Amino acid sequence: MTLTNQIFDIYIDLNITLGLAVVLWVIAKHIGSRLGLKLAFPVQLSLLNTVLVLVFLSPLGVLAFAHLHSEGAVPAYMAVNLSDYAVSQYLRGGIALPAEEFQSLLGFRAWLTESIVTAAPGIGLGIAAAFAASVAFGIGKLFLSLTRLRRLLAESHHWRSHGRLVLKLSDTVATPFSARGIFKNYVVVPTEMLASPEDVKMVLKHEYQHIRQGDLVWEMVLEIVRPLFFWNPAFFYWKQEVETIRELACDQAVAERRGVDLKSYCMCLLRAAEFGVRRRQEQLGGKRVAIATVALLDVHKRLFRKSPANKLRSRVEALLETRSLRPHWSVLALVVLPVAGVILMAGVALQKPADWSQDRLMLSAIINLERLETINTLAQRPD
Amino acid sequence: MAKRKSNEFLTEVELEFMSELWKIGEGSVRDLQACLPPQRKLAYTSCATIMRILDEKGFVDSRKEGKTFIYSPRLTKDTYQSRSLRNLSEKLFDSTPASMVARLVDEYELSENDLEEIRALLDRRRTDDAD
Repeated sequence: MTLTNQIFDIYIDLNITLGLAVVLWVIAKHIGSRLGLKLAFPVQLSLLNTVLVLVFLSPLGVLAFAHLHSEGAVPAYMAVNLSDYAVSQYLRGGIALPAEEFQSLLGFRAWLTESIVTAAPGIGLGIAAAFAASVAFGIGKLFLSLTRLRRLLAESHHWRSHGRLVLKLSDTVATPFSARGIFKNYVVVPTEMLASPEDVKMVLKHEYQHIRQGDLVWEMVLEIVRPLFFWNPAFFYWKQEVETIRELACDQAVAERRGVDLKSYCMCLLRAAEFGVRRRQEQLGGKRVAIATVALLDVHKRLFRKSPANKLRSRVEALLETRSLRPHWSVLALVVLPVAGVILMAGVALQKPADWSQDRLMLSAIINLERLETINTLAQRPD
Repeated sequence: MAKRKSNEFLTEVELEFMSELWKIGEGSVRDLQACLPPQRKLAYTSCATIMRILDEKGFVDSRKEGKTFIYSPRLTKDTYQSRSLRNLSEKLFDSTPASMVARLVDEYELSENDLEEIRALLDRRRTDDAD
């Protein structure tokens, strides 16, 4: 197996594992809401980020597991393999398919990977070309957005700086936002906001909280990997969930701080939204804050997303909801560990079987017997 | 000195400061702060930042007197009015000032006197052009 095949296999496994993580997250949310358990948003955000790290580290976990397995340090029954399991189910009569069709179904992924990696004429070349073009388009868009962000930062007026934090004022942005450079964190506030000192204070508290939560780094990571996962709805669901929960977590953290009045904070969000919508209308929909930034609120309508008004309403409702759980980190670990186990086992189960098992030999024998029978039938046919 | 940023137009809060500066001719941040209505409650630092931005955008000139900066407008109110109207006419009225005036007449219920003044202005302009 070539290195390209291996990398492509890891990439496909990552996509499947991400899909599994989304399913686990949705199930956990559903169970939580049925039981009336509502985790505090900062806790939810930490869980989301931890699970994403687990997903991205799963290929390393699979490698470590394979190594331990080959050394005999892991019991054989733990080395689950999805394809081996399917074969054993087939032999027990659990799957009603002709043996040859079942074999080609089992080998479908390997065949498709090979066709795409070698750009075999036909479907392989088509998918490889479409994939390369889409990734190139995504990377181009990312660079364009980063250039736009750079220009926007350069055009903004310097306000203050504290160490690695730079505050800027802009005439053109619709809402305050934060962005991360290589060495510095930037917070950009519309110049108009200087006229409302109370709002400026609240907005800065909100943006500083984003920096504290590490949201700028997560946003950057998600934007960088986005071109690679452009076709995976699980990735977009995950990103949207992160975007929503990080705002709610930030609001909750700011509202809980001393000296912050909940009503004033909600009114500040409302005024910022009002200003943003007015600015959006003045500029006829132009000058959207570039990607890879974390904005106070979204005032632009986006495809397949809640409207800005609905988002704001959910945020205010979430702020007024005070009953939320903040379990001790050890309880959270009890939740994360099984999830980590499921993600790792899923990664292991998706691997190609290491060698020919008894069941596989049996399947191969059945296929050969079926072929022989076909040949014999053809030979016995009268001329 | 901070780099000049090219931006031809003023934001709402900047316009408020420029209007005061046009009224008083020149002044320090403290002078401008004193001109603002008391309910504005703008901190000195915010006022100073707005004046610094106006300086960066090229709307004001600044000179140092002792420890304070004295600001004076670099363009007249009339010049900025013309610039804003031209921009409005280009962006919102597809470069047809006539439709802008028509909308103005419709919306503001201009009195006979106002209309007479506009007519006199146009007549004067026509005579100037003819010369």
